[in-house]
Amino acid sequence: MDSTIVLMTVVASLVGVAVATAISLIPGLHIYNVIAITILMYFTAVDIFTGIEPIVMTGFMLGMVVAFSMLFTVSSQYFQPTDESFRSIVLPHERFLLEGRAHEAVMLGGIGALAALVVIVLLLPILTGAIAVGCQFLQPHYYWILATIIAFILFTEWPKDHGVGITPWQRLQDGWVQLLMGYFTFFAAGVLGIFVFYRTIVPLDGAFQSLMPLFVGLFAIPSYLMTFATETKVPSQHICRSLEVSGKDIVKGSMSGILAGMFAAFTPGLTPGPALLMSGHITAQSGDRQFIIGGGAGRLMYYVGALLLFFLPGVYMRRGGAAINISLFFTPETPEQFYLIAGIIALTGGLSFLLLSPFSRFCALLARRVPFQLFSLIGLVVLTALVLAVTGWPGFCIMAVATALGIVPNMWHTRRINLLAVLLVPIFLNTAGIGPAVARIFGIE
Amino acid sequence: MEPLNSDCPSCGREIGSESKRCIFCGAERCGRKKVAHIRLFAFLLFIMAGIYIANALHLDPTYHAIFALDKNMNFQKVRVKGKIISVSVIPGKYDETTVVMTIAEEIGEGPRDKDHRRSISLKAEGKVGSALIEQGLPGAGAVVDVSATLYAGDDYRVLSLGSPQLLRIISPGDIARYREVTIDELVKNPERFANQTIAVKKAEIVRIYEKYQMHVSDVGEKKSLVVFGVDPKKYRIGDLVSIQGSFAYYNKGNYWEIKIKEGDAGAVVILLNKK
Repeated sequence: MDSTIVLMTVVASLVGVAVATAISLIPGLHIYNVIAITILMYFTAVDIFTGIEPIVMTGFMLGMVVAFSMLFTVSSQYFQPTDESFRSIVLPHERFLLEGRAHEAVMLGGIGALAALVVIVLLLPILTGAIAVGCQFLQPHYYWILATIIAFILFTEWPKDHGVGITPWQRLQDGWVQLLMGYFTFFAAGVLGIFVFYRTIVPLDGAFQSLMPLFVGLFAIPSYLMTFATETKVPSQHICRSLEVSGKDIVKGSMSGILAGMFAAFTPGLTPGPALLMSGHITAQSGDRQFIIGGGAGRLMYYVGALLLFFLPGVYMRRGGAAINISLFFTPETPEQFYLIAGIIALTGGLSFLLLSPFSRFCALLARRVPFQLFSLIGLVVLTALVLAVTGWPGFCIMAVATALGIVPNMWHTRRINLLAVLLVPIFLNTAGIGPAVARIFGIE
Repeated sequence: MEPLNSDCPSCGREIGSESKRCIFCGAERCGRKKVAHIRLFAFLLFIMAGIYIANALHLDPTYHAIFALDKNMNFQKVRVKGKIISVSVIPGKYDETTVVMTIAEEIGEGPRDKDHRRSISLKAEGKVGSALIEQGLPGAGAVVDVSATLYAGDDYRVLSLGSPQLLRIISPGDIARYREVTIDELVKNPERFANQTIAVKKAEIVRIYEKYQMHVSDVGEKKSLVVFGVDPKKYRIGDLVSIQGSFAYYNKGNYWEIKIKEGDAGAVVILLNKK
């Protein structure tokens, strides 16, 4: 391979790491939102980008994806504390924040991400043949795998508040309202997903990001709104030099996360959240540290591992927004390209891990000096502008409807995982071959 | 073991030097892992990065034999090496161009009765074709390394090039002997290029004669030069062409001309057909 192209691609990936590090300061901004902006710039600012080789641009995006998947949850951990009403169902990293140990939580997640990176870089290239066979084997079975996942999500719904009703009618409500609102959230999200998949109102030129307004409305905007509403006081964060973690925690947590990430990478419509829920049961995950490590491993395995599947010779699988967007302008053709991509993932992954600690320290400093609501305000403005720019007013309407639905878990303390029905249900129906029939029932086909 | 100062190593609150566990956050003071030690694993990734990138630079590619490409490999990405036999540029309806090259295996490895399968067409369409023209088309005789997608059926085989970077010229062949010039340079200082094989990347046909002659000039310029030896029927006034030939003084006519090599399919290639 031409050494100039290799060098330019490596440099572009380092620039991607720098850009992702800066953008990671905005909580709630997802990797795929940033890739959408980059793709827009690449295709529209032709005069600037016309001389850039597609593989160099791919290197830039890879650097962004790897750095983002390592860093993008850090700002959410520092700048989006949960409301006090969630005390009984607070997640481990949120508990760490309230105890002044957010930096420790970040580094634990980083350990999981590092373990996932080592697996991706060392094992995936060796297992190319097995992965290709695995893909062929799994393909006809996606529909019932997704059905099982949906059933698992529904069966594991349970009331979380500790029931303070005085009258029998109040205690009945305590027992059932949360459960039923969880099911309602799932059902409504599923219907919304069917409408967006089969009769989206997003204009054609924004169709490459037709799901963006949906996800922004379901997850990001409600998080921002809850941040504005919360009165939580975040204590000063301690920057620890050592972590309370055992080898067993690292191994079990990483295994759980890697399994979840690979499962999510292979299965269409599945994201790390529900996959982590299941892998946690499979690996008998216990304790906060294993959960946090598993989360870090699962996210990185999903975003980066899924992207590497696109470049694996003999596999060339497009999973996840990053691979789909990159495939718009670049198709991997040769083994040299794969080796270059794998090398870039290793390089940017190592660099991102080294950046994790200073980035976390910087966020801790900002959290002490700047009101956390300001970051949510910036995120709200940026994401709303992005949705309007890419998908126009139709996309904004979808975002508004999705926001109304996304607020439900926050108001009734149900799980946000139910919102993923927006993806799971339509894809399950499509893979089962009954999607068009269901769409006709709703009158949209 | 963490030196026992009075602060909790996890939350930083003061807990005294004797307690083994923090009374605020519950963190243990013993058996902790240092962040600096964990960072060392990042350097393992840097080592792997170096190995992979070195492989990318020095990998010996595996080539498919052209004669072996058949319908069983339809839609597969293949890599071939061969010599360019001919190059042609086909203008499309909407200002896009298609470059078609015929590539043949350098060494005949197939059985004799399959000789016709030792060559294959390579197509570069749309933006890829335009980019190839922009960077300079390889000429006849050039040895190239191509990665492309094979489309093959019972009675057709063609390679489709996905990106100009996937066509690599291993040896330029006849091109190496050609000196790249413009018509203006030839007209201004003809003695400098006398009896040399030259290549003009882009010129416009300004006049066509019946007897294997035409006049060409640089695009938008007035000074023109004679090109001798081409069949004029294929060309029109206004066509943009690339030209390879020998530059010499024609004594009988008292003018300088570019003489085309007989039978050279890549001598005059239409880049854009002005209809």
